[in-house]
Amino acid sequence: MGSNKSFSARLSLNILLMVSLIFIVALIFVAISSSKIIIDESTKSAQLTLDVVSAEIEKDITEVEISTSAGAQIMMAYLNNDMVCDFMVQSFVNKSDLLTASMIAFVEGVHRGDTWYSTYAYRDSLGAIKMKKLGSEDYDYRYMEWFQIPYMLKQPYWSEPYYDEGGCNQYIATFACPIMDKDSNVLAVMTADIPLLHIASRVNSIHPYEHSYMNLVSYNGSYINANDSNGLVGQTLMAMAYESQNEAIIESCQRIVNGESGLSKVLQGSVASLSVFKPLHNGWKLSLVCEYRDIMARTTQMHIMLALVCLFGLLVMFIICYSIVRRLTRPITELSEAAISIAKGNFATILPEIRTEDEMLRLRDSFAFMQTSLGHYISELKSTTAANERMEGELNVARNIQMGMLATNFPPQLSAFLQPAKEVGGDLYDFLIKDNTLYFAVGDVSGKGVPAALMMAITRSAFRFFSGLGFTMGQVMGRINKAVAEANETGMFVTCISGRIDLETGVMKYCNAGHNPIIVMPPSGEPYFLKAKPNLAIGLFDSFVYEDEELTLEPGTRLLIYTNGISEAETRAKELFGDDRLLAWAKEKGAVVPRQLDPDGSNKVERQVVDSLLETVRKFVEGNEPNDDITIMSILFGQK
Amino acid sequence: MNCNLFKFVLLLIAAMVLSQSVWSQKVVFVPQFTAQSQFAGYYVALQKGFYKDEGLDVEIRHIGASSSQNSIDLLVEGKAHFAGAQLMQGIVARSKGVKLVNVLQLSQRSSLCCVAHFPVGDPEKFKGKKIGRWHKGFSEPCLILDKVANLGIQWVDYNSGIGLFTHHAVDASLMTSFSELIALRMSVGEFPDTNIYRFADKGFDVPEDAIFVDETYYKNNKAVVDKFVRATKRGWEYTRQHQDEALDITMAYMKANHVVSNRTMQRMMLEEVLRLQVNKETNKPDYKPYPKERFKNLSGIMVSAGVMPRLFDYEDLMVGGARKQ
Repeated sequence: MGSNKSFSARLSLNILLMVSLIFIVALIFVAISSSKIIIDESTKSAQLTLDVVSAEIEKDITEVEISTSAGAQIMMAYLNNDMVCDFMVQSFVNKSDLLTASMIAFVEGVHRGDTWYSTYAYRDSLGAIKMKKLGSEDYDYRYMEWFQIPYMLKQPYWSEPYYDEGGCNQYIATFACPIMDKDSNVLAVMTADIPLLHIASRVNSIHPYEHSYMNLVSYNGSYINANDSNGLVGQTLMAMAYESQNEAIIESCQRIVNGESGLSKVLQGSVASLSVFKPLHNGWKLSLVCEYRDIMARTTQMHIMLALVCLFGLLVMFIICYSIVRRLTRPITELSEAAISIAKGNFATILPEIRTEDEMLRLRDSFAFMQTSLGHYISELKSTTAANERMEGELNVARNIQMGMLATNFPPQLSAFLQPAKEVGGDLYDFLIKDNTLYFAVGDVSGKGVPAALMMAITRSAFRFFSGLGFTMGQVMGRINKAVAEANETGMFVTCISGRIDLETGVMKYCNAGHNPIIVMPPSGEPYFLKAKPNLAIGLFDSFVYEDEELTLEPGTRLLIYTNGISEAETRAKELFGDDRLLAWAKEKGAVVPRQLDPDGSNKVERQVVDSLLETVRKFVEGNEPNDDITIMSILFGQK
Repeated sequence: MNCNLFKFVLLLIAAMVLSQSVWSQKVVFVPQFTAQSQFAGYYVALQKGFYKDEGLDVEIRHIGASSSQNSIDLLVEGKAHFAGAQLMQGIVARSKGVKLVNVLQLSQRSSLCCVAHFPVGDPEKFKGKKIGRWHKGFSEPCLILDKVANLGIQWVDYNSGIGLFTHHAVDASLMTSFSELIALRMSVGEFPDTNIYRFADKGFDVPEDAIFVDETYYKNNKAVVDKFVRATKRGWEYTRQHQDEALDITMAYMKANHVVSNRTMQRMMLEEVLRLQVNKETNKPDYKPYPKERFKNLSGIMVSAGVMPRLFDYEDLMVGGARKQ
């Protein structure tokens, strides 16, 4: 189901899928149940067929058994009369349609001491009844099973099927019944030959299903229903079973020849079959084999029809379901279109009308509310955006003004850098040279943004105003403090360091109002933080008296003044750059920059110092945005 | 002129008859039983023209299943030139004065079994039992066992088949491993091996199928006997090499003789017959004559068991083709 399908289609397909699953489960259940019923019924039907056919065959063989046994009983009294014997077998054959021949064969020595004597009546190929006397060296019936078994067992016997060559020239079976005197001595054996053709035809004509077949085998497992067309002549059931090399078939056939009654299921290749079997009273065994594909053929057809009906039903259901869902969800589509229109800025878009008082109506009302709210919100947003844009413009102007206030006419011995953290910053630096004296100041206003920038502007203006008027640096800082404190109603303060260097003598007067200490990098020796008296930051108390200090600089001494944007620069892991790294930088990088002023009068030497520190700090913070203004000032007291 | 022409025609006919008799010697061979793959080698020799190649016109004449006569009877009566019979049958007949000679010993092993409805590990189990045997013979080893072990077996003669046994008319029955035993399996399915007493496994492994001729016939027709033996061997060798074709020939032969059977059984029979032709000492089908020493031992036992009336010289029976090998 693709994502580009409509909701109606997806919902309908989902319903279709669920119903299909239910149908499939139901169909499987029906198929299994009906198959089981069909198989049970077919098994019963096969057993019934087997019973019917076996009853028919038993009727025939029983008729032969009864008439032959009756004849044997009668003949007991007439064995000494050859004419009666002849008449008996002749009339026996003549009166029975089932028989092709009959014989009375005497036990050796019973008939006048003869080794052999028998009287035999048979139908010739034209149907005429003929008589013969059998028994000779070439036909020694004394050792033949049909004579020997009833003689020895004193019981009737059914022979194996055999080809009666020279007689009726067809496959027959012989029923042999002993003729005994009152002492149960067997005197002769009376036989009745029945052709197997009609029994075989009857068995072979039974086809409950297209591929089903019936078999009748003898006591020793030879096929009685053998004929030239079915290729069973001379075959035995077990020989066929062994030839199949199929264990299930061999087992099934073994049960049949064992005389069992029952059923078995066998699989040969891809063909599964049902075999039902039962023995007849004379030792013959009847079996019926039906292939399951035949049994299931009608069921399969029914299942296919059922599946087709289900498929058609599903198709109709899908169409109806799709139409209903589409109609029900049409307001959603319309609301969706309205939402798109609203999104495009058409807040006056008319929402669809909902007549039902259900979730759709609530959805429509929500949409209407959203539409109204969105209108108001957009209107407010426009105003706010305009104000923000205006403020941003003003801030840009302020930034330009602030940056413009910074001195940029660097003398060769000084370089400075300032980078506000926001549009406008609170850091400041300034310098001026008057009467061969360099005045400098670096400060950091507490806070950021516009208030800090204003404070910075005041501080810078005060420094520039009071420097060079002959005040000590302590007095300069005191006046700046007073000017700032008077304008400070918000409680802000400024840390600041200012000083002046006599460019002739190198005497530096400085005053540190709560600011980071200056790093002094003498031409010989280690850099160090310049200690200062603990003056308060300016702007806090307007009457605070600031004290200045003095340091005489050797030629080549470099001073580095900075704000806490450098010393407190931090990585994303909140690790500070710190004074130690700053001092280390001063030893490794700051101190190695040349201590000679550029003879061209540019400040590129000191710019190298500023750039070096800036680069070191930027590498340290690994791209983390600075959260405070950064100011660096480098001053070299040196010769040109 | 007409008289000369008549004489010429007579001479021509005489020459043709003479040549026929010289180049195509008519002989009759009687196997010991009805047509089946036990005799496949003979059918193959006939069908493939091996006899004809030797200049013999062989007729294979089977004894009817219902006949009480055996093949040696027909040889004695002069109704056959060659008879297929078991070695011990020939020994018994010679002992009784029938002038037979063994010209080819095909089988090298005994196929005889006594199959019972009960386990038969010990011969004592047969004591006083009713046991079926072929009335035409082939039962000598069991007769010896009966006498030597004084089992008092009640013998029931029968013609053929397994009906007496399967219908429980007898307690046990003699069977051959290549015929009745297979037929039993084809009939009742699996049969317990513990109920089968195999004489070959009990130290009584006497070869069976052989070809016999009348001594006088042998003396007068040595060349014909040699040819028959040579062609017969060739037939069996071909059968061993081409068993399916031999089975086809046998089945066709059986059908022509109205003998009903199935290919499965005939195939199994042929396989067993070919196995029995393999000499267990050389592991080859070498058709060796029965050794003289063993003959002496066997004859002594047979006389003492009353199976044959008197002893005779080994050379009397084994003269001729068999001895030459």
